[in-house]
Amino acid sequence: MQDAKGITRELTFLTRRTGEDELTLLSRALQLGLSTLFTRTAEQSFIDGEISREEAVSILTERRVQEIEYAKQALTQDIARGFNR
Amino acid sequence: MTRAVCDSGPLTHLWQVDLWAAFGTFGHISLATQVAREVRRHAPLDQFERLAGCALSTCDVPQTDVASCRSTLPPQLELQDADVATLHLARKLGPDFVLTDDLDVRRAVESQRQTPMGSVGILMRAYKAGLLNAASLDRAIDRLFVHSTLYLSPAFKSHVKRQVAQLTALGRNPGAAD
Repeated sequence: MQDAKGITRELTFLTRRTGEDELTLLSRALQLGLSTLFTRTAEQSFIDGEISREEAVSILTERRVQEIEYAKQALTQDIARGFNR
Repeated sequence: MTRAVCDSGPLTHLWQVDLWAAFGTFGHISLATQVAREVRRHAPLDQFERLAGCALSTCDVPQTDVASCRSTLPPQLELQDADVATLHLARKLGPDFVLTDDLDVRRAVESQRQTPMGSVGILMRAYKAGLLNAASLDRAIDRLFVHSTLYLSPAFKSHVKRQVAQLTALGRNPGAAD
C-alpha cells in the first residue's frame, strides 16, 4: 500500500510525463483500481460459490471461468490424491 | 517405491516455505537438466537429497527430443522448453506422478494419460505420512498461496483450507512431527 508521500511522487511524475492534470489522472486511476477490484472480487466470489457461473462469465469471460474451474478441480484432486496416498 | 518426475514449480515453491521435507514420501524424483538449471537459480538443489530424504537424479533431454515432443502436444498450451522436457521425461520413465504447479503442464500430463500432482498434493501426502502435523500443514498453506500462478493464487487459499480442514478433522494424525 502506498503512503501519501509515495502517491504525491507518482502523481507528480505522471503529470510531468503525460501533461494531463491531476484530476484527470486521479479519475483514471480510480477507474483502473475499481476495475481490478471488481474482477478480483468476482473471481473470489465465484471460487467461494457466492455467485453463479452465468454471472461470473458475464464479468470475467467464459475462458477465465474455465481456467478457474480447472484450477479448482486440480486443487480438489490433489488434496484427495495426497490424502488417499 | 513411489517415483515422480518433477518440474521447477513444486521444488521452488516448497523450498520457499522451507518444506522440502514434504518430498520425503517419494522414493525417487527425476528432473530434466533444463528444470535442474531453473531450480538452481532459486534453491540449493545439491542439498535436496539431504533435506528431502528422497533420491534425486537429473536426466539429459536433448533439444531434438524437446522439439519432437512439442510437436505432439496440444498447440494451445503455453509451454516452455523445460516444461516440454519434463513431459518427455515422464513419457520415457512412466513415473507414478508428474509433479507440477503449472496448469498447462498439468493438462498436458493428463493428455498423455499420466497422473499430475501439485505442491498441495505433496503437502497432503506428507501430512498423511506423518511428516507434517495439522498445524504445520495449515501454516504451509498460508505461506504457499501467495503466488501469481492460478494454482497457488491467494484467491484459492480459503477454499483449500476448508477442504483440508474437513479431511484433517476426519482423519486425525496425532503422532505427526511438527
